[in-house]
Amino acid sequence: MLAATAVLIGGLSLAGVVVGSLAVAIARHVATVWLPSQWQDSITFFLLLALLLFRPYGLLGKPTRRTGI
Amino acid sequence: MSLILHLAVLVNIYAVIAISLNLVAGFGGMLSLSHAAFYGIGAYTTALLTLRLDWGFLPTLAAGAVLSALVAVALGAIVLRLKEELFVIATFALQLVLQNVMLNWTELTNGPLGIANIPRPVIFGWRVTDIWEFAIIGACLLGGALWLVTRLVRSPFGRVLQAIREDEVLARSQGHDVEYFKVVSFVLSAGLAAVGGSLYAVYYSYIDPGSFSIHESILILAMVIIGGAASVWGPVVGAAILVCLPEILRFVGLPTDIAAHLRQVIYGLCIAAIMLWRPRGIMGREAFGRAGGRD
Repeated sequence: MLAATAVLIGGLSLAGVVVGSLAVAIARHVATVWLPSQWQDSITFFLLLALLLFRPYGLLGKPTRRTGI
Repeated sequence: MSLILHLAVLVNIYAVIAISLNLVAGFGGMLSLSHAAFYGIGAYTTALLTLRLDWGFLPTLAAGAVLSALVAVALGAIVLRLKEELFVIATFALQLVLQNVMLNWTELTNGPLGIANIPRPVIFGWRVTDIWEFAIIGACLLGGALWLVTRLVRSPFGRVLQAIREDEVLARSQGHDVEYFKVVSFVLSAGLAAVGGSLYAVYYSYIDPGSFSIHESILILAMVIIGGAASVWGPVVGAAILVCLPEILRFVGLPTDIAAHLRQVIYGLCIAAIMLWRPRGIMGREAFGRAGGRD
């Protein structure tokens, strides 16, 4: 599930997967500075939601007709 | 006999929830995977209000529906902007976040331990204790939900909603506010799902976040698809099949550890078989979503 999230966040390419995985991992662990660690999953999927809203094609992906915008 | 009544109550609960999902997924064409979360919001509202504030059943039922609808307004306005598979992923993420909140907001929900000893409901002085009384309440709620959805689908609102499912651009070009219709149907659906959740909470008198997981969302969606999306009675049939099937398997005499896995296999086979031979569901007339049909 986390891996799928990472792919979606990064965008569907090799570089995207690397960036997405790093983003997910860093977000999950930096968040524990302010929040108890049981909220990690919430943070991860919240990140996914936010990303779907603003960059539905992923951080490194390119907009296509299917993903819109 | 009590097993049959127990199954009847369960079918009623799930049918109400499946009907509410059908409003969004069947008539609106929006495949939402976050329905168990709204159902959980209803259950938790009823449980907490009766336990901590000593409210009666009907006020908590209404409060659960309103709270769930409010959450749906806030979240629906955001996720409903997304199309098709992005919407599915977004509601999937939403479901995981909401279940995580139920799991981790321990001051309110008691976390993974759940809430136990939810008192039996009292309706106008009638203390509901027997299982057949629950079956009657469930049947009343189911009747109400069926009536509501039938009226809604035949109303101008429902017509536009189905038009949006068939062709969003066309509906928009006819001057309909597509976002408004989507959000309103999502909100109504969330409120109705919460009603099912309230009944679930007082019937089992114990709830925990595990009952409102993504698996539950998928199960409800399976009921809608198997029964027939975009048909009024379809979700009721789907709920009856998926609730009763594991119980029938119990009488076949398999050991429990095999039966539990077999249940998953049978869900999967059911959906695959329906998709192969009756893609419109058992009661369905419209093809599910946009695939197939008149194209």
